[in-house]
Amino acid sequence: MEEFLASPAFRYALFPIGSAALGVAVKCVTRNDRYSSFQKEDLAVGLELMLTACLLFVVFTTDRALALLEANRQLADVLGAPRIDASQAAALQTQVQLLSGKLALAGWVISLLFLGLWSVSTMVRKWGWKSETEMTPLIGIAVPLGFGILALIAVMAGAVQ
Amino acid sequence: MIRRRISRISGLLSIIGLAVSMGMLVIILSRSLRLSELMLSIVVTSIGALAGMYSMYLVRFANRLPRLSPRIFLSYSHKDQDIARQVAEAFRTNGARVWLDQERLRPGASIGDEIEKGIADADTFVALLSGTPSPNLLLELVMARAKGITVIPVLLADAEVPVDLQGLQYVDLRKAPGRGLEELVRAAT
Repeated sequence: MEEFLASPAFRYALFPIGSAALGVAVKCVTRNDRYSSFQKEDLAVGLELMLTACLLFVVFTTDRALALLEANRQLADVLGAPRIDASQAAALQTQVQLLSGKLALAGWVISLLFLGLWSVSTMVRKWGWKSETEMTPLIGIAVPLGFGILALIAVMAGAVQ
Repeated sequence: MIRRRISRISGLLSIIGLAVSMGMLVIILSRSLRLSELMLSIVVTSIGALAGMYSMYLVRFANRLPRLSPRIFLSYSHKDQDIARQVAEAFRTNGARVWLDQERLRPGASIGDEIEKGIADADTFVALLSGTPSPNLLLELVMARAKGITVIPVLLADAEVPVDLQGLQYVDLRKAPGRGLEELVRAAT
């Protein structure tokens, strides 16, 4: 089970597609119960996926910042000891470098994700509606859905590095 | 004039923003993933976008699958709206979803379009007949026949049954409404 959850097939295929499918299912079953059928607008979950990706990334970045603090604390302990363990210090320094690099990039990634979110929501508002209730398949549904899935994959890829 | 210009600029900016954001995310992905993982990601993203593009066909296919709750279109004259509401409640208590114009038609909505959508999505068409038939009954019947769904006439009072419904077995709510309603619910759900 753990192997499957850690596999690329789960992280880059089943997780994003499953999130989108669950979003569609929830949208469909929570509509007015008096009379409702599955409509193409139920597939318009791209913006929700993008927002989820943005928030996931913020959570992952916070985790990384905490991990960096912990690694720095351990490094300080190792360097402050009477006999310095050189191999442990080197390993901790590598970890600190890696986490610092990730955190340096995190600001840009989150900016890109929010830029994408703003861009897609503006496009949907301007060109995504055919009528008051009906969306256009390309700009209203396909573009946000594709971008939402891509954003989720990017966040997952960043999380496992 | 200024507003239109601002709107045009924001549209242009949104396209540029999307291109930049998407391009940069793909670059980040290509740096952090192996080729096979990158290809898988591109395939999955394309599947999502294609599902959106062809959402109309997907929905049409999904709506053809057997449903957990039957959908019923209720046609009636406005004089009978209280009885129609009771009949609808009886259907709903038994798990059906009911189209009632008094709930569905909002001010300004096109009556013909809404009725067409309602019948297109229905499994059963129930026509409540009393002295005054609904003005839309004949049009609704044509749509229901074209879709090939079950049509059930229901007699509420002594009424002239339209020619299009004369060959169909009806449910009689005139003498024993309770039993008739049970029969109707069984037939439609």
